Amino acid sequence: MLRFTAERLVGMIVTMLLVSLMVFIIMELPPGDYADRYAFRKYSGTGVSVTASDIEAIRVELGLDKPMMLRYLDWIGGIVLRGDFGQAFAFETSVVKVIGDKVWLTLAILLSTLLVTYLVSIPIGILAAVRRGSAADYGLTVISYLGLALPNFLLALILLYFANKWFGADIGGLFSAEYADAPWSLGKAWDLVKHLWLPALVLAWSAVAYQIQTVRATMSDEINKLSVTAARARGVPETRLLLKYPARLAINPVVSTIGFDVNRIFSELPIVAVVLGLTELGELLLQAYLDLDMYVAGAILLLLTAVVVFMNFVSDILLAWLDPRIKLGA
Amino acid sequence: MPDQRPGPSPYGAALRLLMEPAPNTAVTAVAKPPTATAPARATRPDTRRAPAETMLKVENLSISFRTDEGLITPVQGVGFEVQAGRTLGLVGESGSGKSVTTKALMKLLPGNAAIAPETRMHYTTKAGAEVRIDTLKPGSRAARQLRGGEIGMIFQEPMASFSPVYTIGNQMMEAIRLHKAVGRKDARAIAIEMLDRVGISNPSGRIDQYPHDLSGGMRQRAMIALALSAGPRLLIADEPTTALDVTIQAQVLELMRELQRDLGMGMIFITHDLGVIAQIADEIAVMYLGTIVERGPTREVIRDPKHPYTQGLLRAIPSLDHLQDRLTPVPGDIPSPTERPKGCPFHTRCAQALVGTCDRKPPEEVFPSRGHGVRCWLHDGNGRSVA
Repeated sequence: MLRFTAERLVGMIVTMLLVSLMVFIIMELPPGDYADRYAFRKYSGTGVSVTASDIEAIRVELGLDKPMMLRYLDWIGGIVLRGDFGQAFAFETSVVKVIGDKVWLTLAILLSTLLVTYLVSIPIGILAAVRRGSAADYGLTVISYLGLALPNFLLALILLYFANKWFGADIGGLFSAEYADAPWSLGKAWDLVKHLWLPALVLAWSAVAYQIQTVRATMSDEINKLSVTAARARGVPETRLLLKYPARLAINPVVSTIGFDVNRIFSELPIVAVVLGLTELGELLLQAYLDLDMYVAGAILLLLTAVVVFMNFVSDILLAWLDPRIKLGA
Repeated sequence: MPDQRPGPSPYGAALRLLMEPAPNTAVTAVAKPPTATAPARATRPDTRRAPAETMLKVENLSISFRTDEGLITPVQGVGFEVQAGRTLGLVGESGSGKSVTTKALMKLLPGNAAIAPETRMHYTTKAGAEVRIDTLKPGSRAARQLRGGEIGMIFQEPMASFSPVYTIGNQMMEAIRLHKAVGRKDARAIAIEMLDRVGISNPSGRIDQYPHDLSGGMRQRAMIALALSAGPRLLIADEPTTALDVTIQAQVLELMRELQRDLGMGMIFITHDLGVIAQIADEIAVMYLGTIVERGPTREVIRDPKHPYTQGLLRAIPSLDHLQDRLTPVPGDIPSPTERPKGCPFHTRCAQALVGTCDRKPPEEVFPSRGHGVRCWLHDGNGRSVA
């Protein structure tokens, strides 16, 4: 297990380096750079005519004139050695300051969504398989198809409407007004938890529906395995039997797709964030691209991919722990 | 038997010996059923001749399933006994109801199955208590204590009967601790001892291995160790040697005989291979379509089969002495339980069927000799007997 973990860890680091290079190349792809944009912003409408050499001067000043490979090394070196993600040109400060809280809030949304997804779908999927063919099973199936069919921004709007109507509360955003700009405290953290459930529920919705079906299908298969009958024939009590034997294998496909879920959450987050008024990275990423503010965009892309890669690593380790046969193929 | 041709059996020789008339055919009348002294088991201790205690008595067992095609009854009016220290061989083709019968004993039938109210299943526990298995609730504590602790079960596929994600030791210790009041350490010691007992080398190392780390024969040995670890009094072996190659088969059979002798267990051995049965069983019950068509002491049934079906099964066994002969399979297929024939269930495939008798009424059990029962109109004086 230790060796396996170490191998995957090394694999993860190599992947991250390759990803960072790709991210950097992608950042370079849009035509023009921030020097153009800066010159246009600063002088447009002022009547001053900007020459190519003016722009070039800005470029030198921002350090954008150096060859790409050199800038990449500077960038990745700063990140690895000093935790410095570079300059956020449009904000005239460091990237770390711009991204700051938003990273943690995005992570909080991600983790709570994953938590809701698995806490809801795994028990329900297992129950549906155990009570296969019962009214509860059919009911849950219908609900989960509804979940697959309903776009989540629509669900977000519906939930917002009813939450507002029934509780009279403004549950949009991640903080109540009194905490929005307050420094971090226990009260603020609790306030965050109280606001997180809604986006978590909305984002988890379709994944829950999907994972219920996955767990139900695998669990149904596993329940009929001879090993389960054999354990029953040894006198293992039913609940313990179901949890120890088939359930452990039934969550395998869920664990192995954690990475996909993370990916999907990141792609759905911006739309939901707009509807629910959340603070997260997606909107900033889009803005940074429009501004050609490449280090901000790069940092966000890199962080998001780092999360995906890390969650895949977690999924690999969990899978190896769940099913000892996995290590054979390592 | 079109769906399960018995492979060349290493027990052909033993079977032949059993089938030939022995010099002394006198059977002991004290023990019911009489024990024949076959050459293959000459080594068995004499204690087996003592009047054995009946540990399991099944009467009138009928099991039916509610299915989409309606109610089917794969087991009808089955009765048998198992004595401590003896082996009952249940023989039959697939679909004959052997496995369902033993599942009923373990209360392991699926939810759509029902045991008929006239069924009686009496079991005497290790402590000497009488248990009516037919009245136990499947999920009850009493039923769970019975499973594993009193009645152990081993299956045809050792790989499939172990969970692949837990070590052998984990699964053995779980069974031990469910049935014996011991701690982890003691349970582990018992498990290691059991593994050693079934002939697994380096048991203290093997105990922490996963089932996929063992070879096929080792797995079956481990499976036996697992089933025996909680100290059952009765062992149900559901085709335990069918999935093994013949040399391993012989080893496993030898092991099971040895363990039975040492532990004094009763055993129900399910198989479709009469060669294996000849080696291990004291008594045989031949099942056809959910009914026991013939039963009696192994030696007698094999040497002097009364029922045409038993006769057919014996003709279908390959022998090293007659390699040039073609095997004679029992003609036709076993009917589906939904189309159970009227009258004797076997009459549709029986060459000697009496028109007007066999297709009208199911035969009652008659006893041509002591302890040797058969359900066949050919042997029933009330039918138009030709025997």
